[in-house]
Amino acid sequence: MRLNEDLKLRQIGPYYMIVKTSGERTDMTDVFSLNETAAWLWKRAEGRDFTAADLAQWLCDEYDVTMEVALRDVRKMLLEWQEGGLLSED
Amino acid sequence: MTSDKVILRSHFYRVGGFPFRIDLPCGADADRMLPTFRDFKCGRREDFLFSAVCSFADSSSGGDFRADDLPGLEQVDYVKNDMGHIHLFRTADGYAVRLLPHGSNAVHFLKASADFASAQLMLMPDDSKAGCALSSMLKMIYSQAILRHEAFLLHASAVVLPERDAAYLFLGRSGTGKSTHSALWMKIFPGCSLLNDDNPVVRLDNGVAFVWGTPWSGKTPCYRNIASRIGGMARLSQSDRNQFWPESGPAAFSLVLPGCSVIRTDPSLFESLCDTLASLCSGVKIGRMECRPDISAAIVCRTALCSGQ
Repeated sequence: MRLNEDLKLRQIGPYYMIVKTSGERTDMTDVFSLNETAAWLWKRAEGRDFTAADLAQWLCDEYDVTMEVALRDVRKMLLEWQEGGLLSED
Repeated sequence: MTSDKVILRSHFYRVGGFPFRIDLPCGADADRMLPTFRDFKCGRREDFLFSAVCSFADSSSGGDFRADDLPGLEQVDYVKNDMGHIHLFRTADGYAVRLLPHGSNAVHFLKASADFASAQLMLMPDDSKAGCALSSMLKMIYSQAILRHEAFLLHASAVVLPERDAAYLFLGRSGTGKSTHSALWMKIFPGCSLLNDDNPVVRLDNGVAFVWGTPWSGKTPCYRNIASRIGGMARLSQSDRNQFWPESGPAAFSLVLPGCSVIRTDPSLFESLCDTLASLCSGVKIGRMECRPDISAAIVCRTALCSGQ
């Protein structure tokens, strides 16, 4: 899978967010908040293909976490990203 | 078929520190058509934000322009607001706007480049609302042209508090009580004055947020060509109590975004706005103010916005 390349990760002080306009209603905008770990994963995933296992592996390399826990958290996050339209639909 | 020579005269204005040029047919009285722009006149400039060439249509030829008369153009938006009925279309190289003012049957027309740096206006001079239409169209051009320059037009009421050397902005949907809240501040805080009651400009200058008065101030005649550092911003909602909730990061961003003038379907304009807003939100105190229309609301709001500064 890939990230939706129309979207840009933005930082406000210590916070991270992604702003996405709705395709259907011109007056609707979604603002997604990302925590530091999610933002770190987003930055690493930018511009490349990846799988849930890739992201989980990155977490395991960086943090003291088991593959099982990392994969569970990553799948949950990716589901939210997919439902929010943050992933490419191709 | 006839051809008439029209001589245009350039008029220069400066709003929010951005100069722009309007070319009107010779003989058109700019001060009469744009009375709220008088304090914003400036000398001849070459570094303008945008230039707009305005011509007057023969009222017998284009008077009943309709949306269906724009074949092949994609309608991007339709709004009915205090100006009137506005249709926004995407053209091959920019945008087109069709404006029908309230209480008028004359349609005015605007074409602008994609970056709103140049525009052509076609006005119906016989319409008693032609001046309002011109002002409205300049607002549309201006509001999009400034987005690339770390600035945006905001739907808000703004007051200046001299003792803090700062301005405070109140946001909210129409009818929420922004003007009422501003009036309460002016009533109880010495020297507090209205900067703009509807559409001030917010502009970053080396990362510091300033608010400027504009020729557009809704129903309140307050057209001041002055600027002030922004001390804080509150999105108002009506309530039976007075309470301020500070917000930061994406939550603060989400409070300000709905009040910003931007064509949301234009990625370039929208991204520019988001960059400016993200920067603004890291430096300005922002929050939600649940309020009653009473003096205690102004005290609660001021205490919250001025704390820790």
